[in-house]
Order: sequence, then C-alpha cells, then structure tokens
Amino acid sequence: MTSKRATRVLGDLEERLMEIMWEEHPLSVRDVCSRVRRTKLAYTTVMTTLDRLHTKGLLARTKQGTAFLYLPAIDRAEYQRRVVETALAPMFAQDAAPVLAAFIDVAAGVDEGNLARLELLIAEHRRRK
Amino acid sequence: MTLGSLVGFGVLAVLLTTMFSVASAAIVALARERLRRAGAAAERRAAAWALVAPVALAVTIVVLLAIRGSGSSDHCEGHGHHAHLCLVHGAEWLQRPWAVALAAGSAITMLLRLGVVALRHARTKIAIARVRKVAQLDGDVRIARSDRTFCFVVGWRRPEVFVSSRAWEVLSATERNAVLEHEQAHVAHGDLSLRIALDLAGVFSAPLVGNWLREWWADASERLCDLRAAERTDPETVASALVKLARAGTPQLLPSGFTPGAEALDRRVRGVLRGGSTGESVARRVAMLGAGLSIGLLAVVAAFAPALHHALETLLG
Repeated sequence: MTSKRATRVLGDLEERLMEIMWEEHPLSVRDVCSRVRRTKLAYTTVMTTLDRLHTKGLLARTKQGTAFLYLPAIDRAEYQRRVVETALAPMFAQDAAPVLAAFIDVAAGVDEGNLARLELLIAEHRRRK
Repeated sequence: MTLGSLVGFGVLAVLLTTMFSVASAAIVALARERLRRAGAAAERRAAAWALVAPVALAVTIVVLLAIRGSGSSDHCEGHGHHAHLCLVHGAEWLQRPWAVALAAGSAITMLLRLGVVALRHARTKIAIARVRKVAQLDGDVRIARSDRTFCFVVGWRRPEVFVSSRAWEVLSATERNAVLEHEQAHVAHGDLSLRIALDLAGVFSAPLVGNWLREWWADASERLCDLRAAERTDPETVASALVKLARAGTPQLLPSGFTPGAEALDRRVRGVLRGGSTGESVARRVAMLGAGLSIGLLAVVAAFAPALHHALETLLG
C-alpha cells in the first residue's frame, strides 16, 4: 500500500537512494552503501533513510536472513505522476493561483457536441483559407 | 499622530476606496460592450485601471488632505463643532463607536484578505517547487508527468513554462508551438507580476468588485495571448490546440479561473478564429483617459483641499 506521504517530494538523499533503487533492485543496506560510497554516508544513515522510504510507501522490503532487501514499491513515472497530482490538485480545484497564467486546463462541462461544433468551425476556417 | 486621528483617516480611506472602487467598476461595466468590441487589450487595461486607480487615488487623497489640512497653520481653530480630521487633534474619533467599528472592521477584513492572497501565493510556490523537482526539462519547457491537460507559465522573475505530459502528447508540433507562443505572450505582457499587483489591489477594493475585475482581466488576458499566439502561428492552430486540450481533459474537475468552462472555451475559440484587432489603440486611449480622470480628480482635491477637508469633517464628524 502506498501512503499519502509517498507523494511528497523527497529530500536530496531520499531521492538519490530512490534513483539507485529504480536502477537496480532488490538491494540490501550494504549494497546501497557501496553504491553511494563516494559521499561517505554512514551505514546507519542509509539504513534510516531506506526505512523512512519504506514507511512512506515508496519501498517494499523482504527479510533475507538478518537483513532486509529493499525494492521500489512504485516506479519512477508513477512517483512523478503522484507528486504532480498532489501538488497541483488544490490549485486546479480552487481559484487561479496568483503566479500562474494558464493556457488551458480542463474544460469542465465541455460536452462532446460543443467540441465537435468547434472542430467543425476550425475546419471551415481552414477550408476558407 | 494619535490613535484617534488614525481612526479618522482610516475611515476616510475606507470610504473613499469603496466609493471610487464602485464608481470605477460602474464606469467600466457601462463601457464593457464597447471595450469588448474594441479588443482584449482594451478590456484588460480598463479592468486593471478600475482595480488599481481607486486604491491609488484614495491613498493619495488621504495623504493630500492630511498634509494640507494638518500643515503648519492650525486649521482646527475655525470649527469646533465636529471631530477634527487631522494628525494633531484627532482623539475625538475614538469616541465615535461607528468610526472605530468601521476602521477596525475594515482593517481586520483587509488583513484577512491579504493573508489569503499571501497564503495562496505561498502554496503555489511550494506546489511549483515540487512539480519542478520531478518535471523533465525539454528545451525551455518543463514537462510534468500527469494525466491532466495543463499548460501554464509561472514565476515573475524567471518565468518557466510547465506542460503536462498528457497535453504534450495530444498536441501536434505546430500546436505545441502555439501553446508556447501563448505563454510567451503572457511573459511579454508582464502578466505574472501584474497579476500579483492586481491581487494586492483587489484586497483593498469594495467587496465583490475586486473579484469581478480580476476575473475579467484574466479572461481578457487569455484572449489577448491567444491572439498574439495566432499572429505568430495561425488562428486555426491556436483554436485547434484549445479544443484538443479540452477534449483530453479530465471531466470530473470543477471549473475555476484556472479551468475555463464550456462558455470560456467557446469564447476563446471563436475569438481567436474571428481575429481582428487586439484593441491596442483603444487600450492606449483607455490608459490616457484613466490617467486624465485620476489626475483631474487629484488636481481638484489639491486645489480645494482645505474646503474639502472641512466638508469631509462635517460630513463624517
């Protein structure tokens, strides 16, 4: 199950670990540590961050012996889709945001008949040219 | 300056802003059909003037009256029958419950409205920062993965265009170009900073008037940008992009200023196909007329400041 928190934007480290996970999985904490070695992250930091990502619903895990193996619960595209939806939904549902100028979003209540009429009108204009 | 004088001038500012706000809205409402025929640029200019001018005028007049009426000479000697509208002898305003209630009520309302505007602005900034983090950069456009169809430009210092992946998929190359031209037109017109300024002006406008004028301005701005995009591409491409995006949209959403409904879509498509003048020359005349009216009013106030000051004191006090 993916919790609502999963759709929040991740911190830098969380994002890096997710990128590693999306590239290759399943991975143990030690595997992940070896892939982020250059920045000298402590084992416990990686373990805590992976655990947090699991709590957020972004990672699934299975126990193998004494260690956990982590793998992504959702793919990158789905994650991005959810972030966009969570961030923009309130703006679409309420009033126009002050810093935005929209070309168009959803033409709510626009019925198929009206769209077809407008398309005919456009075609007519094209023919007349 | 005493608290009483603050109440007195506060009452005056509220009354003047409300009066000018209603008057300017009535003027542009009467001229609406003519402005609509002239073009979207003229409508935009008129709506912006009707929003900003009342606030600017009211503040200037209050300052002018405060300076002229409370200058070096003691104007209060001549009339002791009412509360003095001056910076020195204004304590009596505190003894008028209606004045205190009006000043306090207006101050609280304006602070609340200001808070709402600030909150909306902050929430939008956070939302955009989140989307930016996951959006893919394609040239100058940020593509956000979404099943909705949207395209908008954001940021008044460094404008960025965001398009949903769904919108990008349904549009042809020329339609994409038309959409981007529309967004660039918003940037060229300075719409992003103007919108913030108008939101702030709306805080001080008379109730309902601010919202109506901002909606009108936003609607005219969209139609003007459609025409600008049509100049750089062609009207049919812009119209076709609008219809395609509407068709690909998710219908469960409610209409708002951000999501034009059937009527707005119809107006925009027909407007861009009809083409014609954007109304720039009328917009210039509107600006000149608005400036003339404002300057004329200020000149009258400046010329008759002491008499007007006394008249207002008598009326309010």
